[in-house]
Amino acid sequence: MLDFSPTEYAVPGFVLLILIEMIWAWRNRPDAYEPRDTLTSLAFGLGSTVSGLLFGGFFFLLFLGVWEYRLIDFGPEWWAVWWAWPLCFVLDDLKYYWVHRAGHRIRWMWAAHVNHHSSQHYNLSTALRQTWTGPFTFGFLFALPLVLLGFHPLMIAICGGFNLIYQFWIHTEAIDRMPRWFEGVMNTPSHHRVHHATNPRYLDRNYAGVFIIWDKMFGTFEPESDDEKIRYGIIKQLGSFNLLWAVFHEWIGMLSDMWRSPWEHKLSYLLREPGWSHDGSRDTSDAIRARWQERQIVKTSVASENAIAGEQEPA
Amino acid sequence: MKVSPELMQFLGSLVAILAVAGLAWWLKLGGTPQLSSDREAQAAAIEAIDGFESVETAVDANGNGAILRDRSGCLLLLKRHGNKLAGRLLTHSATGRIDKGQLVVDSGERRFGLVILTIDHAQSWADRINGVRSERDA
Repeated sequence: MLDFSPTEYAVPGFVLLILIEMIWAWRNRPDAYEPRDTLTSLAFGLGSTVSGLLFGGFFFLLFLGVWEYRLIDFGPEWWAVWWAWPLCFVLDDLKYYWVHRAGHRIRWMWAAHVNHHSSQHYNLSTALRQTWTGPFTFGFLFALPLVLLGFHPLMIAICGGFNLIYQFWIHTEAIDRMPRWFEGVMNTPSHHRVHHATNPRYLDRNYAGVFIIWDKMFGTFEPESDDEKIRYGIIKQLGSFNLLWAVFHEWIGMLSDMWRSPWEHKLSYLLREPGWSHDGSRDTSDAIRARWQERQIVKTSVASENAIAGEQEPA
Repeated sequence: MKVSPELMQFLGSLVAILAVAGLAWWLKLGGTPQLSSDREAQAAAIEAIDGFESVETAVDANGNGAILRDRSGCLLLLKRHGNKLAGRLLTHSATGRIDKGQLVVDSGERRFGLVILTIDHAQSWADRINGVRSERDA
């Protein structure tokens, strides 16, 4: 049977592209990299491969068990059904959109995904800042419809691998915009910079993996504005390069909130959006965006009032 | 001694990531951001806490951080983190003290670390920080 892991073959390419981007940074944008941040990002990448080795097998076996109940049978040589591959890739990308969206909107999922956003930098090494704790969430459930539909778990894993490889190159500031047609359909550095931004207007936007069309379809698309400098990272920047703290800080925060909160709110700290609190003492991304929008309205009305007042001044 | 291929791969990857991070250091990537004015600190404060409008700002003489107060009395601490800045709104867990004329701020978050600021009127800032705690305790 087919045995192929695309990400393993891609690693030398990842390293080469990081080196090329570093030379670009050295010549043009030395602030785009920070050695300790880079080390933390790369250590995240290494740790996530160990986590994948430890837990990946379990989920693969689980999916194989579920696959026995598939609706469509692609036959014993499922890998030879050529059209199943692009179909699986597109559906897997749709799955990625939703699991990623859940990763930002449900604190339990965010506890694992926050790792990827914890750098204040945005470069190719940031792409390798992958989670160690994903297996402790319910993210795997999002793949079950594909398995039940009949796609072999290995086919899904290979498509997921190519999806991850695609997402590597978009973690850069070295590329401004791709051709218009490409920006219209595909996820690009510009679209993904928005996703990593903490500017209020950009919060919880552009969840796409490969095809940006999902964000446009489901109302979460936001284009990058040339008028506003992007700030990367998370709302409450870590302020520490400690690797273990970076890996586990949100888990610790979430569990501690659950421990200390009244019984009726414990589940909310697990399942509601990051930043939610039962006493309203913290901000969710929706609250931050709403406040920002309110300020923009005030600014606009003040500016227009001033303009009218200016017009009324005697010559 | 026989070493498993997985362990070899892990060790090889570890050496590779140290080499890449070493290269970033050797190329002197990063640099050091320094806050040199109240205006810069205020801009950084807005980036740290959206909408934070400072009415009083004290910037560290070495540009390593700043402390700011808004109209409602909230205090925001900025510190250098690599070549970026990170901020915290100070809560009742924060403490401020004076050591050798400098303001030493503990945000109450162990991982955020102590922030040492060389600023004017350090004692009054320390009093304000400790005031947040006493307001809660009152």
